[in-house]
Amino acid sequence: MLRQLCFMCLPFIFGARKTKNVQLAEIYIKGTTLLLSVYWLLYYVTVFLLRKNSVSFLSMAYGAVLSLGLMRFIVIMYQSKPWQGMKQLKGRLRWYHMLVIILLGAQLVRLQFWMPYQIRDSLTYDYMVHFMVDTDLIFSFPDVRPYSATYQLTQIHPKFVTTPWYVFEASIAQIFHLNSLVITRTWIPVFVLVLTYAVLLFLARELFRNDEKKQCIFLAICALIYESRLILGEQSAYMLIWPSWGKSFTSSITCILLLAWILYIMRTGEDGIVNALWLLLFSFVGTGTTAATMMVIPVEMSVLCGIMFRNTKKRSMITMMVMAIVPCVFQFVVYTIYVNGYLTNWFIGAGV
Amino acid sequence: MIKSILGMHTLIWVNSGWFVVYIASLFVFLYKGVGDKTMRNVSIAMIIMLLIIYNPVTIRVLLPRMASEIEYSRLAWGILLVPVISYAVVMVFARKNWEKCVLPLLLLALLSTKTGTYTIKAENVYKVPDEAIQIVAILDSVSGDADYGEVEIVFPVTDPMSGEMTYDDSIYAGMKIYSTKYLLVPITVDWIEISGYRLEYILSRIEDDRVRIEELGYSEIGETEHYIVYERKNDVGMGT
Repeated sequence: MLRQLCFMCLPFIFGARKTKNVQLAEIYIKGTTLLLSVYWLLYYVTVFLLRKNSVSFLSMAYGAVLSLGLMRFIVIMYQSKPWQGMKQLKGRLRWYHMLVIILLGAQLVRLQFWMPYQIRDSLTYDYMVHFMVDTDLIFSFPDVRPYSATYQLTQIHPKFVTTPWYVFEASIAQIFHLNSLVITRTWIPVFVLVLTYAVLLFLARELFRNDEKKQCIFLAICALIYESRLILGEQSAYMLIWPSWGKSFTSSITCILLLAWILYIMRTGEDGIVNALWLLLFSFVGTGTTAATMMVIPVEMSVLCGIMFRNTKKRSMITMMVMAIVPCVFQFVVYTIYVNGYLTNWFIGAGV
Repeated sequence: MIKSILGMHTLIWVNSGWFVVYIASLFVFLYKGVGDKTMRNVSIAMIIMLLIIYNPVTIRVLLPRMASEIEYSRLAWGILLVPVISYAVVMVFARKNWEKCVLPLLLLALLSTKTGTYTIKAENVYKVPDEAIQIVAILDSVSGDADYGEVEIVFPVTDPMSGEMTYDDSIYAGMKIYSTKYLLVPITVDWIEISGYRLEYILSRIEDDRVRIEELGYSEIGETEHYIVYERKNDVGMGT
């Protein structure tokens, strides 16, 4: 449980900033984005440039990055002393806060101790992560023999080659020295749930400025819609039923986060390069979770930014659209190259 | 073409009335006085998203390039159903007395807990059945250092992962993900008898005919609440 708490705190460690008056939700979202995008980057470098096929190599490299993040966090905490502002929270709890806390608490407890509905794909993904930890090979499958790392690199399923989400789960199992089932069936679901509501809270604050009551009711209704599962065959069903899947991350987090960020940019007028880069990172993190983002993000962002541009005539909207689509194009290019076998000779010559 | 559009609609919404609620929510924003200008723009964007998803041209162009219809239906992630409906509900009830909404919300919460399959309490930290772990422990004690997927076990014939999970399904799934060493082969004892093919181990339900399995050249090595684990005797060959 303590290790799980440490894992849940990682986004805070990565997202911590010296500036005060920053929303906790924003810190959590940005921290997770950094946390995952660093891993995706390490994955691409390891597989496509170093041509290594070792999960433990990735875990070691990632462990080093986590240590650097922790050191930075300690320095920031020492300088900014954020606990001094905690006293203000006292005595501010209203019934609508309690409603949200009860609903989310119930979902958290259930994901922690109860078993989500299992179908064949759940089995495949859990087995895949378990197998990666056992064999130390990225996306290894028993039907892909011999177990040579080079051969395996050419045999990764195309839909996984650009999506290191499951390798990330395997790495977390290695870093925290736990059975991968504990990671895939308890840690990741709780992580995804917390992140989903952080994104919804961020969106709620953009939609209902300075009205906490409306923000809380908004979150409560979102929680109830998620509770009623299978309302949309594919989208909202994922978050509570198959929360450890990469698809769940994109459908419940990335797609909503992109809208929230566009609204944030529109409200604050801060359409500079920094916010555009954050948008690029949000999209990049999404592309690492499922291949479906190649299709979903470009369509969603084209429509959203197109409408915003039509109404505001802000050229920055076009920039935002381009920034969100860039990672999808990158993913599509890598996917196409891999599927057509252009990289096969490069992998075979790896000499690992 | 209409058939494929309707098929897609069913795939996305699972015949749910939430489609009507979603459409109603989008049109609520288009009226003045509900929501602000930004949300009206978002509403227009979502309507365009729906037009893209339900567009016969898009379906005709994209669908043949996908492995299955379900992949196309993932475009629907972009319609942002959850926040759109929630925002509409908040705006519609904004003028009301909030406290009066608590009871309907609690009722909704109660109704939404109807799905029984989700509320299965996990038996252990791995969230696989205890019995699956016991069976793996019995097999581990005799199988030695086998490579991944190399130990083949006859598993009682079942139809794994289709529809509601049976107890056999949960044991099958539990064993498979708990240990990568074992390869479960769902075949019947009849088939073993006819084919002459002998796998290393047999997992049989406790009510199955023990004598018949032992006559095939297997001996019992362990027993759990619902299953018996058999091992092939050394003098019996692998068969054909």
